[in-house]
Amino acid sequence: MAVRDTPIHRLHPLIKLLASLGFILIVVSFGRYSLIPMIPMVFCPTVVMALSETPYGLLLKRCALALPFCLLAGISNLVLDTGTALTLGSLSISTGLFSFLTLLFKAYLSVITVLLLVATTPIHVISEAMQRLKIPSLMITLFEMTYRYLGTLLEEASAMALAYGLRSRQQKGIELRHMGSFVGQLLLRSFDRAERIYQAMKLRGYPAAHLSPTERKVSSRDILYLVLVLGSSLIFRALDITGAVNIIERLLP
Amino acid sequence: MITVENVTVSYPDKTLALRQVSFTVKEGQSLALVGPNGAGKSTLLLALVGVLLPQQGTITIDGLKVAKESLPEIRRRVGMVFQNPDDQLFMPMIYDDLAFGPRNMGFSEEKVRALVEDTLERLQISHLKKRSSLKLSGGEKRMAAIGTVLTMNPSVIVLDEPSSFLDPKARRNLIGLLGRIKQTKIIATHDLDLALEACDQAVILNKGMVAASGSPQELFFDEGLMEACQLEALKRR
Repeated sequence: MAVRDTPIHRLHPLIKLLASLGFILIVVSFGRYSLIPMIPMVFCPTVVMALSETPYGLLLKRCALALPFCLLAGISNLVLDTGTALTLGSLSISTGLFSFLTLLFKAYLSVITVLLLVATTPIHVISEAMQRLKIPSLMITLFEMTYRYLGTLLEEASAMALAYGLRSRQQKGIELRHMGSFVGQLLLRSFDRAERIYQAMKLRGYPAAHLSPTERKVSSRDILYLVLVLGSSLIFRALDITGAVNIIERLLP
Repeated sequence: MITVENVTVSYPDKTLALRQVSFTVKEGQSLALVGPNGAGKSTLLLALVGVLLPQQGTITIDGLKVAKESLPEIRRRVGMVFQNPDDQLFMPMIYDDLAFGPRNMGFSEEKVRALVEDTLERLQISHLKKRSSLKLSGGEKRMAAIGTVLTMNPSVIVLDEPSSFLDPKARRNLIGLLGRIKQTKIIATHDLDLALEACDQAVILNKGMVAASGSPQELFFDEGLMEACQLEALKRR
């Protein structure tokens, strides 16, 4: 996907990286109950997805992988934050639910932004852009390793799950009593595998300290993209559409 | 020229993997490293590329000693193909895997592209360029793994069990390819037929020591020697 020829793929990688980072910063700057004011923020990712011809279904599916982590992080909000945020007839919606949904929405938007960046820019080009931004090399290494080892972890997990499923009685996922040893074995196996992959990388010159000598210049089209993404996002950040929602609510019978 | 002189390697848990191993390989020659499981073949390959450094003895590649300070240059000179191609292919596409080494060497994208295209063509796997390694057959993965090393144009190539995971046809293709690669090669293998066809010199390792060295024709048909080294001698046809 990262090597297609679309207007988004052709943009300067540094600009794409800056736009993504800026967009994520604006998303996380929303308040904990700002679910409704955040809705217009879907505009930029949707337009970029369409222009880059990235399949919506695939991207949303991959995004869903991040949801369990957000659920774990935000589940306590439902229990601890019990104030009333909104009453719809006899139904009252708690502030906890609001903050929980806001957290999920923020996570979804951030993950989609990163996935769009990765889907439209080869990984080594993103690393180079990070180097140019003077991001510490440790952070760049962490980014590259996470990208590579995530696949390794999933590969090992699916191989183990298949071997388990073929020999288990019910053949319906991993039984809870085996989960501990399964996860332990998965980590040990992935650690070994990751070690061998790291050796293979080192033997082929990793980490390289130099940048590509064929770095291209930032064009006016790139600047326009950055201004449009960050400008529209800042406008949406400043604009609180809650008032508009209230007006619509009042107009409804 | 590769010179291995009295090399002893032990692992951090004090297991002695290689003891006083010595041999030389002249430029352009192919050496087969054979021996039973646990004989130290893979350890020796890792020592050749400096992943493991010997506690005693020296390894030199074209006059340069393998040591901590010479590792970047050693790794430019010696390319290693791992036993499991899945360890070697870690990028999203085969093109990126082949380009990984040249990019780290600081080549321009045009040069990287030329090197990758040329290697893909030599290996007759141009059609795999945009494919993910996860979707390839064992033979295709092996070819791509060798390609990742060839794009860096090393003077020595070491291969760990290159015929493992291959069906007869892919194995035959591999033997043909090994014959076409002009660089000095060290091949660790259990596949004596492959070693007989692709190598002009052999070293038999047993329990971390050199049990015998010579031409594959001399060694592989010697039933007494092969049995003593827990190997199965080839039968003359």
